[in-house]
Amino acid sequence: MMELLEVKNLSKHYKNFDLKDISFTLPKGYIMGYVGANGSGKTTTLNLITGVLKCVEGDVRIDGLSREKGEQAYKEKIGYVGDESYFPDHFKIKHIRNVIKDFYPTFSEDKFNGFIRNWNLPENKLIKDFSRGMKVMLMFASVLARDTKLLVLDEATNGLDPVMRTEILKLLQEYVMDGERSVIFSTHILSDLEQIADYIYFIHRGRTILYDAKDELIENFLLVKGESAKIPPALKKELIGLEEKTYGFEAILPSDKAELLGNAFLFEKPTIDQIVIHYIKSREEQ
Amino acid sequence: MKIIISNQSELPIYAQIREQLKEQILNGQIPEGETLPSIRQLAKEVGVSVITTTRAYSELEAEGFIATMQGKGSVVLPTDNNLLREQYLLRIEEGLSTAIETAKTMGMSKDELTDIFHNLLET
Amino acid sequence: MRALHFMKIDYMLTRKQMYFMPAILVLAWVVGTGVSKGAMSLLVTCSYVAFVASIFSTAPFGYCVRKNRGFLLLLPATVKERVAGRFLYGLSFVGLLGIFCGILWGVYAMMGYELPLWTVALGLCELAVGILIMALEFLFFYLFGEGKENWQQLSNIVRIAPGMAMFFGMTYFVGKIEEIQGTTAGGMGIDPEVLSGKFMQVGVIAILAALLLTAVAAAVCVKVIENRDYA
Repeated sequence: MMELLEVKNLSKHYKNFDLKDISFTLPKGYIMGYVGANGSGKTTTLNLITGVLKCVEGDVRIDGLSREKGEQAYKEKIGYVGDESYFPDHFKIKHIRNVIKDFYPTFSEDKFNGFIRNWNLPENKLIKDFSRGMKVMLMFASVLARDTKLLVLDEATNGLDPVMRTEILKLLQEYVMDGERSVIFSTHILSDLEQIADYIYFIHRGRTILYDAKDELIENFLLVKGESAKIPPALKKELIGLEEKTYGFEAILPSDKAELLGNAFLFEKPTIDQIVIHYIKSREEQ
Repeated sequence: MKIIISNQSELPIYAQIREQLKEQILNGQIPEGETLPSIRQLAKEVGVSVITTTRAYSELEAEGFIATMQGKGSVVLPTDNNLLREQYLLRIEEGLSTAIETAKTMGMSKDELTDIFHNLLET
Repeated sequence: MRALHFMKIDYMLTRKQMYFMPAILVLAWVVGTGVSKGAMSLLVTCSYVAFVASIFSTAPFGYCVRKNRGFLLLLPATVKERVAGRFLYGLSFVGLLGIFCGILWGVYAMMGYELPLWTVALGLCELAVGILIMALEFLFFYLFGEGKENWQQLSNIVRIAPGMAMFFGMTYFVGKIEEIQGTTAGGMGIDPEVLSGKFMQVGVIAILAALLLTAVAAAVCVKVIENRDYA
């Protein structure tokens, strides 16, 4: 059993939004970045995975187990960190410790207290008076202090300072270190998180756009720049998300079409962000 | 052992790791018999993805620089002279090809180019 | 077991109101003695306590608006356990206040007040109505309000009105008791004493019925929520 997370044909219909046919697998010990613009369906997907939203169409398995087969065991495998605190506002750290101890048999109080100390989280403040960074770190403490298989992070590092983001990157890499546990994180900005992601799944308006190992993605595309007037029709057909500006154009080209370029254009290794931007552009034009 | 990743480099990250490790193995900074950090350890230290370091290691293995043994990690192999020679040859060829490419672009003749080559050898 | 853990969460969520509960109980006693004396004052006090119970037993709903609920939804437990925990909180809260009333009756008895059996029975009915109001409020909150913000006013009416009606009803009844008993001119001449045995049965049956209806309400809530998008 090498796959930790299997998502098959996951769909969800709302009045003005559809999530359609999301399918991927995430092997044990790897990190996936779930990328898309705001409102593209990232949170919906992650909520379906954690079981907070009901999965009506499609199938989600964690470590081979579906939620229908065993709600409790399924949820115990998941550690979730959201974009804002999901703890009751009027709780203090001691109340959270109390609840986690009651509900999760693998919870280690020592570990939890260690995180609280290391990150200087205030024991006697109400959660609602925590800073944003403190809230995020408390969520991390509460999930890392117990035995989970899958970390699900929904925009968890948004608005955190660079020092904290680096700390979280290290935490995530440590988490997958033993090769048994995996991480899926959603984000609309890639930046530093991009570095540690093994796989990228990219959705736009509820539809899958790209899904591959990150290194492959970067190698499979070239960022092309040059003079718009010089683009031959054969090349224009292949360019993705062609953006024409006053003094030149920018677009993405599949690497295997590189021979169409000749000497007239500048091309370089794209970042994931650049691939994403041009792909969104090409979708919007359709 | 040191690895420095540049985001500006045209080389993909796995290739940067591969080249830097190769360099250090060839010049003896990483001695033969030394165990390299595990793929996951290295990924964490350098702050890159596991797939990236896996690829760097497997290419080093394919080129005969390291051997990965189940449960023991990756060990640096003795760099026998042929391998060393081959690597250096490769690098010389690469350097010369770049020079020739550039010469062609500006339309330099064969003789002019060889003159430069000989002049440089003398200095 | 996990239902009990959810009940514990509700007590932690509402811990603040527990601090001032003793003061409220004293107030209930003062209100009772202000209206009447002896057994009659106890009836008023108990209706006031039931009023208080019906208001404060719904407090956990107020602490569980959209964003703050995530943690509870993620806990490894079923909808059934979560809803059962909430109802156990409601029952135990009303029960605790009921015990307070019971103790008060005991103290009055020891102090030598005359406490006719029918007043005790009426007290039990008040407890039953208290439980029933709590169950109906829970049903209402689960069906229409769980997790929703910005509906404060409606929810306040739902929380306060039924208990208040019972309190004023009982106060009115106690004020009219002499008229009903016929000890004053033009009274109806009904002597509740004669019916005491029946009253007691009614009291016990009322409580059992209230508990049964609470269970039904809880079951309905579970069914409805299980079919909801947000589990």
